[in-house]
Amino acid sequence: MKFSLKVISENGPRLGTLCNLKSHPGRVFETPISLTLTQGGSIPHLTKDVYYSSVGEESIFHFADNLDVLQAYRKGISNFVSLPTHPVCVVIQDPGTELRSGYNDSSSISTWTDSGRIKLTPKKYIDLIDSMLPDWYEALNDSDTNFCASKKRIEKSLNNSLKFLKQSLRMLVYLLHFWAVTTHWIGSRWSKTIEMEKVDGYCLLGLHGNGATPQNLDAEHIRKCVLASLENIPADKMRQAQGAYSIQSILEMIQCGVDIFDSSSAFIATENKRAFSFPNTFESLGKLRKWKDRKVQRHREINDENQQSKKQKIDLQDRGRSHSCNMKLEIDVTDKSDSKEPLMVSCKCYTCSTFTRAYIHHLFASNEMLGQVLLMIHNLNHWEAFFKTVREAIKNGQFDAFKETFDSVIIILFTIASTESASTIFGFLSFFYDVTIKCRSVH
Amino acid sequence: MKWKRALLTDSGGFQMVSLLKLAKITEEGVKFESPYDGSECITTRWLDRCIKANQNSEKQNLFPIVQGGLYPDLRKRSLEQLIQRDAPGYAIGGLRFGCALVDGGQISLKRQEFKFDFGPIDESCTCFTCKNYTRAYLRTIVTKETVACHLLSIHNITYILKIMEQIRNSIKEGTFVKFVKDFMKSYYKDEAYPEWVVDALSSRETNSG
Repeated sequence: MKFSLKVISENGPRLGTLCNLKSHPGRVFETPISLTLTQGGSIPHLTKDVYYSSVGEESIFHFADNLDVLQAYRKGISNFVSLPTHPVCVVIQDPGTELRSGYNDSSSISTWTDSGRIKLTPKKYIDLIDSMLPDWYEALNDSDTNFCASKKRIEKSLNNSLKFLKQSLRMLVYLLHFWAVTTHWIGSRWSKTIEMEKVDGYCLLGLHGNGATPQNLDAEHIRKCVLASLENIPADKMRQAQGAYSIQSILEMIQCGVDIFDSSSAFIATENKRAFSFPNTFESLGKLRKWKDRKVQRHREINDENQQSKKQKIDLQDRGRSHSCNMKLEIDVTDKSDSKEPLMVSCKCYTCSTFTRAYIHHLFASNEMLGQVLLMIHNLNHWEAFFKTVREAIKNGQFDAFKETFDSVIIILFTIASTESASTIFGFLSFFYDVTIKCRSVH
Repeated sequence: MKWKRALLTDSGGFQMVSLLKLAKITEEGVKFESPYDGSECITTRWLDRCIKANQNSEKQNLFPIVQGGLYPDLRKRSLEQLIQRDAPGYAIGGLRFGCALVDGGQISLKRQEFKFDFGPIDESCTCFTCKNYTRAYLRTIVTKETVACHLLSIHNITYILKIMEQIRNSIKEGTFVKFVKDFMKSYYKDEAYPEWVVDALSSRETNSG
């Protein structure tokens, strides 16, 4: 496998390509890329004909119970799950499921299957990897930490991971690709101790406990951690950060130089019965920016009037910055709706081209599986379109401007949501989206 | 729903029998109490009222459900009354399936015997599931991932449609009786035909014994 950088900037966003993959030597994938999360080998809720995925990401836990089956099968995981056209990256814990903390020890990592807790020793892990035949995979590591973890836990996780890595290195003489792990605030010390020449890239782990836990993380804080982690990492190796991060966090990480993410957010949104509606194209962002500029201008005019009459000044910009802005632009499909419009007017996915918002609401109200299928299709398409836009922006040297516009629009929306009535926002946003949008702010 | 083909809605007759504890039957119709939250939903199923209400007879055909269980005289009476009402089609109600359907019965994919079975559900089946997925893989996701439900539904529906086509062809060719006999023989390999099957078929003078 080869990772090459096409556009590179010091501690900045990068455009890269992945090629010469063992399973698909002729194919080229551009980064930043989102791996498609699978669970049990399939994209959640979707049969393989429904969505074309780029590179699949599978966690080991589902197959930990089925090592003997895979060993008998001998053709690797992507053939077994009938996604033979997709390269696969294997990770240890499922980013879509919240981790049960406190079960790792110095000789194994714990994961849970139907038959209960399984302890992955380096040997067992390598046996699984041998049977799954992924294109790349995480080295066995202990990343059971988060922003609240004690120093003792962090030290333990580092030591365990280093030990596992060394054991894996010894065993992996004939396997070509694997990952190292790095954690945040002790990033620079850690980076110096691992054997950098033998790994193909780095996974940024230990920042969250999987599931929905990354969604509430402060994007600014993530930025600091990621920058610290990447300080001594050679620039030519790929950087991966799986997990259901918010869009703001993803943009921060791309700006710091992370290359690979995954679609966990799309999965978590679907589980929460929400449809993505954040601006994911230059066009939709441009429209929102024009609206934001008008809004800010109007507030300035009101302030000038208040100045005249000695009333209190309202500063639209500042109020937004004082909150941790993890606002999500999402549509709650369980909101009763008789709208004959699609979820998003501008979206070209199968769901939005075919069905009305009212029908999707009905599916969820009647507990029909089709609801989750359609929502997953929309969210994955929306997510993928976002990454396409990001790659375009980096190619044209416009990424920083794109991110700044995105952040400023979100902050204004958040401010208005927390001060004025929601109907004000609905009025404006429905002009772009033609549906009712709920702006949820998350502290 | 964006479904351009025919739609057949259920009368709720099965529910009336299976949910009798939750049902209250009146002249107006059948009232069900929802087992989830105790709210009521009313199903009206008296045919005359339905026909009166069915204004769209050009677009929507009312299929009266043939009732009377397995008692031939009752079914005959029900049928006579239905014919008098000149309804355009008839449906046989009350059938239910589960698991994965194959010739000779159904297979429960969760079973240990399929753990290393890398063949499709049915070698001769041309459905999307059988063309792409193995029994061994399906076994790992059945009851865990919703995808398994979709894949099994695709196969089971394809299978039923195939059987229906075979039935239609055998009726056209006049070989329906033989078809039923062969089908039953492969379905009940040890010839332990359940009583209800024997009763139903012998009432039509196709004794499969």
